[in-house]
Amino acid sequence: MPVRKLRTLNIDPMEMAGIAEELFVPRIASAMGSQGTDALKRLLLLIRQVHLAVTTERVSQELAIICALDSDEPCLPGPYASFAEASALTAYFNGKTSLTVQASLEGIRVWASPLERSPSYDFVGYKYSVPHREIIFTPDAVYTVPVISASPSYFGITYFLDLKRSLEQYGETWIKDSQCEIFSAAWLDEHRLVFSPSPEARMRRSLQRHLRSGLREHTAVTVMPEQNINETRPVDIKVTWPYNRAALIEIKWLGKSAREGESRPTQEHGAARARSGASQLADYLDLYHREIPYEEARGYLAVYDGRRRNVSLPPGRISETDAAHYRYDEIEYDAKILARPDFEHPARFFAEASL
Amino acid sequence: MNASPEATFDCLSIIDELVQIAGGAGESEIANFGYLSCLLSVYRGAPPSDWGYGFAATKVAAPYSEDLSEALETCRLSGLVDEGASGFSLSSRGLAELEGLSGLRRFSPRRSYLRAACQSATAIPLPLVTESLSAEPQLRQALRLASQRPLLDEAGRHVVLSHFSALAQAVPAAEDLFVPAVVWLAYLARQVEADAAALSGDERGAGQEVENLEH
Repeated sequence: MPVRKLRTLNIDPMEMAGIAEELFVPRIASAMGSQGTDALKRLLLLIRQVHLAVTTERVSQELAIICALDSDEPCLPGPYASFAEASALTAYFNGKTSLTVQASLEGIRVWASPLERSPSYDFVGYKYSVPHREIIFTPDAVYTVPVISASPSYFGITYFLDLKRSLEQYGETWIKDSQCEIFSAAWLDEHRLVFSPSPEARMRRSLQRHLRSGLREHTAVTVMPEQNINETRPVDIKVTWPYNRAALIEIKWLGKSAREGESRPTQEHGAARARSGASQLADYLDLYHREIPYEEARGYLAVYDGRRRNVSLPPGRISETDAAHYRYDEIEYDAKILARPDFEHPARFFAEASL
Repeated sequence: MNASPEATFDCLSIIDELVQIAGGAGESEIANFGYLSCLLSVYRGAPPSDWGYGFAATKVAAPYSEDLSEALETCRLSGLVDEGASGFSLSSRGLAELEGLSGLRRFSPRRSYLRAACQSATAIPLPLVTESLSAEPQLRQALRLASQRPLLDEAGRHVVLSHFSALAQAVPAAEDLFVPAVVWLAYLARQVEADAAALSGDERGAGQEVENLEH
C-alpha cells in the first residue's frame, strides 16, 4: 500500500473561522439574516440554471442576475421578456448584448441590456463580466467569488473550454510532426509535401479518436463523425454533452493532393478554402439554431495546413525555407464570422515537412 | 430487494434537487449528498442511528450506502426514476411519489437536511463537493487504511463532532443549515488542496503524518 502523507485529522478552528469570515455565503447570511439567506439560495440556484442555459463563451459583455428579498418590482426600466424557466435563455439570448435576469414570482424577467444601476430595494445580485470576473453583490457590499484555476467561471461548466484546449493540444502533439499514425498515412510522400487524394477522411478519423480520448473525463460525451445538419449537409464531427451542449466541428485542409507518380494535383487549396469553411460552418450554425434552438451549439473550424512553396509533382525535395513558408501565415477570416458569439476562433494545425 | 422507506425518500429528494442544480444526478452523487445530509443531522444533535440507514467508506474515500443503492435500483425498475444522458431524473410518477411522501410526518424532519446538503452544490461546484467530502475525517481515515469500513460508528462520530463544534463556533448565528454546510465543505476543500500539495512534495515539512484514529 502506498504511504500517504495527509495533514492531521484534527480540526483547525482558526482556519474554519477564517473561512466563515471570507466566504460570501456566511457573510451575506450574517449581514442580511434569514431573508437574505433565502434570497441568496434562490440567486445561487438561478445562477447555475442561467449558466446551464448560456455558456460563458457566449457572454460577450455582461451578465447580471438579481433576486429581491421581498419585492417583485422589475429591476430595470423598459420592456422585458418573461419566461417560466431559465432554460428558455438558450434560444432567447443572441450573445451580442448584455443580459440581465431577475427572479420573479412567475419565473424570470429578462432584459437584453446591462444592469446600470442597482435596484432601490433589498436584493442579492451576481455579475459576470468579460473577461471572466465574477462578483456577488448586495446594496451595501461587494463579495468576491472564488476563482477556479483554468475555468472561466466558478458557476459555469467548462465543456467548450475543454474542447478548445483539446484541439490546441491535438495540433501541437499529434499533427505538427505527424505523430498520429492515422494522419501520418494521409501524406503521399515521405517528406510530407503533398497529401494523398481525399485526405480529409483520415483527418476526421484522427481528430475523432483524439477527442474521444481527450474528453473521456466528461460523462456521457459522444463524438460522432459526419452528423447531418439536414438531409444534405453533414458536419465533419459533432460532439454532444449532457444537458444541452453541442459542438459542430468542420474540417478543412490546405495544400496539394496528388496520386502516386502523377504530375497534376487532384486538388489544391489555399487560404480561401479555410475562409469558405468558416462561412460554411456559420451557415451550419444558423441552420442548427433554427432547427434545435434549445441546444447551446458552438462551431469549431479545424484547418489542417500542409501548404508548401515551390512544390512540384511528383514531389521531390524542397528547401527548408520553402517548407516553412506558411508556418506562421495566419489566415484572415471574415471579421463578422469571428465576432459571432457561437463561433470559436479557427484552429490551424500546421503540419511540418520532413526534410 | 427491499429498500428502506427513508432511503427511498432520500433518493427521490436528492434527484429532484440535483436536477434543478445540474440537470441530473449520478449514483455517486446520490450517495454523497445522502451522507452529507446524515452528517448535517448529526450536526444538529441527532444520533446517527436515527437516520434510518447506514453508510460505509469505500477504499477510494467515497461514502456508500447499500440502502440508497437498492432504493435507486427499485425506483428505476418501478419507473419512478428515468436515466438519461445527464444522469437520473424523476419521472412524472416519481414526482407524484415524492410529493406524496413529503406530506408524511415520518419524513418531514429529514427534508431540511437533504435540502441544505443539495443546496450546498449551488454555492460550491458539484465536483468540488464530492472532492471535499473525501476529506471528511472518517473518509480520510478510510483512504489512509485503504479499507472499507462503517461510517459514523462511535469513534468516527467523535471526530466528526469535534469538527462540528468548531463549525458551530465559526457560524454561531446561522439558523439555516445551508450556511454551516457550505463553510464545512469549503474547509474540507482546503484540506484536499493541502493534502495534494503535501503529496506532491511541495509542502515538505509543513504536513504532519496522519494521526491514527484508533489512538
